[in-house]
Amino acid sequence: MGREIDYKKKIYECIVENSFGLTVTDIADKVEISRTTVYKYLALLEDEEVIYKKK
Amino acid sequence: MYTLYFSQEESNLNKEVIMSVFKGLLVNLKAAIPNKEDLFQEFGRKIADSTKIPFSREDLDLLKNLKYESDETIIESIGNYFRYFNIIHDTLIVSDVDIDKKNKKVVITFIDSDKHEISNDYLYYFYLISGLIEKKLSDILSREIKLDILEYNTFDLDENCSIKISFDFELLLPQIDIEGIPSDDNLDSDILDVDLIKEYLNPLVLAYIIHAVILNKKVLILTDKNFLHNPLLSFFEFIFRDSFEIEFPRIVSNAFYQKNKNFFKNHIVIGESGIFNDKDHFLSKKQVKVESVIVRKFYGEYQSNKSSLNALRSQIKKAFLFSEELAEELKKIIENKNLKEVDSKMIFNGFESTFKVKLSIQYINFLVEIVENYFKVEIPVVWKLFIYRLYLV
Repeated sequence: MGREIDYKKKIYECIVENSFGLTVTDIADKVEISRTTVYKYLALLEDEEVIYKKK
Repeated sequence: MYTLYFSQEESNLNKEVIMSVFKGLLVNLKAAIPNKEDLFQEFGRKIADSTKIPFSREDLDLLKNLKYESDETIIESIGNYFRYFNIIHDTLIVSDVDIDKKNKKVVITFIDSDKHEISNDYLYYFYLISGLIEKKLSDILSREIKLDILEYNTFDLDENCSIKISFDFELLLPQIDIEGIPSDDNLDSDILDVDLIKEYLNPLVLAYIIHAVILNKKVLILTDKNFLHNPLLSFFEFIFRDSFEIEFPRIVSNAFYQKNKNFFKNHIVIGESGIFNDKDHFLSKKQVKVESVIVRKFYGEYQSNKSSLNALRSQIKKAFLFSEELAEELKKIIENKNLKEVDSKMIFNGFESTFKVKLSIQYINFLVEIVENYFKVEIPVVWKLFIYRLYLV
């Protein structure tokens, strides 16, 4: 549970810091976790409506 | 196609409104001042200090550390910088970055994600952004960087409208310390009216004057503003002190010049807004690239008058010391009459190791001109060709 909060927080901070948007690969590189893990937490953050995506 | 993730925290800034205002501004500025690409680049430089580019801390550290790297490594790493390029046009996405380290060229391909019709308005946008990036990188790397747009093409790529643009990088004037250049404390720059000089002397005109006098040309400056005569002479005396022993420019009024034209027939005559008479076509914008970079720093708004004046004087002294050293080396070789055995590469390798700096081709060209014209050392054409080839490899 502790790790989940930690990753979610890191990913969120990463997106806030880069206001021109980040790709999943960018986030995975910056937080140093796999892209699969990034997708998982991005979905959670989108559900909480604290982030949004744009193609 | 990328999917980008954004924080909702940013949504209080209405990007669409800002984008449309910016696009409207750009198109109308272009109509109001047509064919002034250089001016848009200058706008970019001016707005750089008040424009925040959202580097992450690690990206910023990475860029700052680049200043200790070779030019090639800097060019290669700068490719990464261009992913920040969609900072105003959010429909433009970088699709490819091709870095040519050898020729210091970066070719970037953009795709318009909204498939808008590509118009030449983008070109003005790129000039603006290149000025901004040029200034940002120069500040971060503590190097004078010049970014020129070489080619600009629009084409269709996978049914998307695309833009391919080539940038030419020049890395000039590395920040290095040389013994013998006095510190700020030893200079009496307070006595000079720097504001007056900056207000009435155009930067390009100053670049022309510096170029001409250090290459031993006679220069006549025309101005009807009599109050400028003494401050200008004090200024030139100050910036060339302890370096080039130059023949100071004569400063006269237009009426005086018209009455005594014959007397000044061998002078390069420079007016307040540019070249007035240069019968041998000695001066051109291309000829004064290095001098333009040197004077641009002097005119920078964000430096105090004293530090900008000292920076100008230091750059002139640096050019003097470099070219003096180069002239001495070449004289020794010529005196020993070992011309056939000379390896030009050795001369310049030794020269670079003395000053612990890699010089750009433009700067080398600048020094070679000084060696020939100021120090009067005749450099064989074969050597010059070799030098240029050496620095283009």
